Amino acid sequence: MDTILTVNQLSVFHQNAEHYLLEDIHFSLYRGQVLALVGASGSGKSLLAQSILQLLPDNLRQNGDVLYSDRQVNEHDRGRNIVLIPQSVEALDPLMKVGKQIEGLIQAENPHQVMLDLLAQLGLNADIATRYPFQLSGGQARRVLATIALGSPANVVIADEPTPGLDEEAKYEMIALLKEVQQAGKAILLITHDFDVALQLADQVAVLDQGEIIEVTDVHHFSGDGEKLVHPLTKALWQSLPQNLFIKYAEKT
Amino acid sequence: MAVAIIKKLLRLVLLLFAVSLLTFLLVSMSPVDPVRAYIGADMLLVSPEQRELIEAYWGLDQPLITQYLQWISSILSGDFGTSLIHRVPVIEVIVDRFFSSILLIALAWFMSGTLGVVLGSIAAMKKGTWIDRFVNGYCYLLLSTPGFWLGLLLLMVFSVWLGIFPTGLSAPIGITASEVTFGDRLYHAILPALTLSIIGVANVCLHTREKMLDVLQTPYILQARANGYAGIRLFMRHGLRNMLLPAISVHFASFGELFGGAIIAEQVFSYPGLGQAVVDAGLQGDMPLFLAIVLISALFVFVGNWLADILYLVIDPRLRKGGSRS
Repeated sequence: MDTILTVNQLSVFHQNAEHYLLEDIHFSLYRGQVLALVGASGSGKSLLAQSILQLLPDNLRQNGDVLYSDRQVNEHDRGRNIVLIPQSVEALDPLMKVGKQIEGLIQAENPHQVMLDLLAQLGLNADIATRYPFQLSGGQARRVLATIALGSPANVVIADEPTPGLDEEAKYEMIALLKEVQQAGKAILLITHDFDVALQLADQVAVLDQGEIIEVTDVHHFSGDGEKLVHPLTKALWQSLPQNLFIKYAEKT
Repeated sequence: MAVAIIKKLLRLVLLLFAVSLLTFLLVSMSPVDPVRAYIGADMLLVSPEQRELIEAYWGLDQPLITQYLQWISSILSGDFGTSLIHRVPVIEVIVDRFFSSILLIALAWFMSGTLGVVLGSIAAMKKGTWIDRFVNGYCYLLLSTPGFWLGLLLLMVFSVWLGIFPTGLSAPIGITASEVTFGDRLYHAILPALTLSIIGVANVCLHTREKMLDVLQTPYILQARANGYAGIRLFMRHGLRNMLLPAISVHFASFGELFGGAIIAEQVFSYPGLGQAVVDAGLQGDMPLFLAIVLISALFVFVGNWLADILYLVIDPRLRKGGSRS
């Protein structure tokens, strides 16, 4: 299969300490597929998104390779080849109308029309474009965030924790939106703490623990008792899901 | 909206009342004897009986509270009294001086505002580079520079050595008031305004830099960067407006500081503005003028702060549209 984004031996560390926040990260994202990176909070997930885009905070350094189609990612890839889906409405400029913010990412002859088409495609009224971020409801905001991924010409989409503290309904709505992004032919790097979201969207799952990737595996390997999983922690993660405990309980009785 | 305005006006009335009461009390406790200050060197010719007559004529023999009530009630009816040193109605002195001062303050305000915002933004966008360190150093140097000293320095260089600007006053000497043009006034105001604004820049600049750094830390800036915005495009698209809001409000609130600074600059440049008038009035015991200027200054600073609030409403959609999250 055709890889579009490759991360190899990527480490992130403090500028003046030998303390690694991410160590020897490696995975390949295939064109049009979803790779879920699952880890508990504090495992260094958000740093990964920033280091792929070369946007780490000033006091952090990185080494290793981040390759887009076999060449190092640089700042010109941002927004053109790799796009970040904002985590929440906080990632929109509070003083700029939503339509204008989406338009700024669209590279087409008539960005305004493309923006209106995208809003319509996601079932939003055209008047959303003239609103400010604080005037959006939760559902509208999630759709607007998805239009940013859809409107951008980028083929790689990084979704950093797209379902932060959402209730079940909102979560499934966001999952559906991300599926729509994938159907538009884009590869998604899904960074999440929610194993459930990962299983519903991903083709591959990478498990991150204390700054290291302990296992990258096909999503179909999460089945049964998890006998196809290699690392004990991955198995434990799989078995800890409520529905699996329930199956086990049902089998025993 | 109407309720907000009424509340604001009520606050203004309370403020002016408190300021008037406090100033009146302080003035009556001051060692300056108004009768002696009024008569001056001829005091030796005034007998104690005559003195008592003057005091009775001015109402100085009345209890303090009666004096205050008399003064405040005549102010409410529009009568600010007569200036003792200028021998004309206080209101005429204030109107005349106010326009000189406002020219000075407005010039200084615009210069320090624009320059401060530009320098502060550049420093923040280039944080940690030599440009940032240079701007920072410049600001700290200016913040520790006394205004009167800087004024003297400018006078020495530009007026005495180079002869580009006049050494003082607000109009050329030797012509009548009707012959003075606006150009003349502006020309005389430039050096004192420069003094005020050079020092004012430091405040605005450091504040702008701080606000801009805050803005650069926000999720929407990270997002914009991830989407390919950088440098001047990032600044114009997302930085400027978000930073300008707090920066402008601070700048409006600095009316008070400017007013204080103007007093010093006007002294150094013998510039006949409100600041100089208030110093003269204080030292020579011209109470009607002194009290009136204090009230006008309080009003002026209040209006400055109010303008900042209104500007917030105009610029920030979150406040303009009521801020209700649907």
